[in-house]
Amino acid sequence: MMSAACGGKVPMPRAKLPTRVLIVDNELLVRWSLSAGLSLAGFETLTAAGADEALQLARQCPPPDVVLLDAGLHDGDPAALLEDLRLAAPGCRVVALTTAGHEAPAWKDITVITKPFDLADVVRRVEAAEPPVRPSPQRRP
Amino acid sequence: MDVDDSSRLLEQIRYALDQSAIVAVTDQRGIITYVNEQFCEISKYSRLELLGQDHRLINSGYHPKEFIRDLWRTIAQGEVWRGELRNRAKDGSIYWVDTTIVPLLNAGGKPHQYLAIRSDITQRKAVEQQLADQAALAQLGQLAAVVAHEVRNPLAGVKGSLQVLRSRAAIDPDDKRVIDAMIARLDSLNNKVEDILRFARPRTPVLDPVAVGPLLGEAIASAAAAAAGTTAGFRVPASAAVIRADRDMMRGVLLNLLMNACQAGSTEPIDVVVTDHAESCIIEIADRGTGLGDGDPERLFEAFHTTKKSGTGLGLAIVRRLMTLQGGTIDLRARAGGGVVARLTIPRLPSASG
Repeated sequence: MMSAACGGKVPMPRAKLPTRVLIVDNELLVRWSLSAGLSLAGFETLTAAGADEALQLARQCPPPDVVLLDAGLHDGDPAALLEDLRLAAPGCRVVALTTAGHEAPAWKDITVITKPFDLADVVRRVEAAEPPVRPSPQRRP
Repeated sequence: MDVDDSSRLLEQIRYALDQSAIVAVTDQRGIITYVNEQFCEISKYSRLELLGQDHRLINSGYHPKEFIRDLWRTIAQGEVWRGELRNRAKDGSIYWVDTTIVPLLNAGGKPHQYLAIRSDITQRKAVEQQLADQAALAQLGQLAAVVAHEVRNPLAGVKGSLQVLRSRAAIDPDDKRVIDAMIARLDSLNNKVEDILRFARPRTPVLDPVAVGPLLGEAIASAAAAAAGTTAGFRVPASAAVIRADRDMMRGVLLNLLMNACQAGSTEPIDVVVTDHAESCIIEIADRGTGLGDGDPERLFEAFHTTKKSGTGLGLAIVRRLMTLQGGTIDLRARAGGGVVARLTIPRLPSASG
C-alpha cells in the first residue's frame, strides 16, 4: 500500500500538526483562493492542477487529511482519481467541488460544495470534514 | 353487375366510409357541400353551420400559407393530396386529422368537387409533441451542464480571489465596497446560471408530506422581504391542508408566484386562498395588478418568454416544470375585476381513513 512510505518515520503527535488540505482543481484562481483562504484559517495547504500532480502530493509524507477535489477535472476520471487518492492517503476525507449541485452516485456520502463557493463556507466544511484522529489501519467501507 | 347492383355497392361503400372516417365534400371553390356525422362530432359544429362555409371555419392558423397553397395547387391539378392538418373546433379546442383529399373529375377531366377523408390523430400528435419536448429538454439539459461548468469554474475562482483580497487588513474601505459590489454581480450572474439549470436539469423531487400553512408563511416572509414595502401586503386565511410535495421545490414555486404578484403593480393586498379537495389541494395567488395582457396565457410558460425588463424569462417555465415533476399543475387566468390568478393544484396527502 502506498501509505507504507510513511511507515519508517515516527509520526509526530497529530494534535501539534496543522490539518493538511490538498486542493485539486484545474482553475488557477480556485486553487489560489482556496489555498489563501484556508491558510488564513490555520490550515496547511497543498495545491495540484491535475490528477497526476494530485496523486504525487497525496503519496507524500505525511499524507493530506482532507482533499478538496474538483468533480469536473479535465484530465482523467474524477471517480477513478477518488479511488486512487483513497489508496494513496487512506483515511483522508474528501470534499467535492462541483458546478451542478447534483452529481453522479460516485459522490454519494461525500460533502459537496457547489461552485462558486463562499470562502467562509468552505472553511466550515473542511473543518467539519477533518478526521478527529489519525486514520485507523482499516479502510472504512 | 347491373346498374342496381353497382348503385347498391356504391351506397354500401359510402356507408362504410361514413362509419370509418371523417368525410366532407366541397365544390371546386372549397365551399362545403356535404359533411358526415363524424365531421360534425370532431369539429363540434352542426351540419347547418358547416354547409355553405369553406374550411377556413376550422382553420387553426397553424399551417403556413405556402402549405395551404401547395394543397390547393395539388388538388386543382386533379392529384390526390395527403397530409396532416391541425384544425380548430367550434369550442376553440385543437384537433389533428390525417387527411386525404381526392379531386372528383368532371367529364372534361377537371376537378369539380373534392372529397376529403380524414381520421383523428390528435392523440398521436400529442404523444409526438411530448416526445419532441422531452428530447429538446434533454438537449437543453446537456447544454446547461456544459455552460454551468464553463461559467461556474472561472466564477468560483474570481469570487474566491475577491473574497481573499477583501479579507486583507490593509485594504482601503472604498476598495472594499467595490469588491463587495463585484461579488454581488458575480452572485447575480450565478443566479442566472442556476435558473437555467433548474429549468433544464431539475433534480428528482423528494415527495414528503408538507403542511401548506407554514410553507406559505415562509414563502410570504421571503417575498415580503424581497419586495421591501412595495406591496400592500398579503391576505392569507389559515389552512390546515397537507400536500405531498418536494418542500424546497414547492417553496421555490410559491416564492416565484408571490414575487410576480408583488411586481404586478397592485395597490391592493395579494390574496392567497387554499382549498382542500378529495385528491388535491388548490392554492390560488391573486393580485389586482395590470393583468395578463393580450394573447394566450399559456405562452407565458414558454422558456425565455418575458414581459419584464430584466431576467431570464425562465421563472414561469421553471414553476411549470417543478409542478409537473411533483404531479401538480399551474395555470394563469384573468381575475374577475382585474388582475391575475395563479392557480396551483398539487396532490394532497391521502387521508388516514383512505
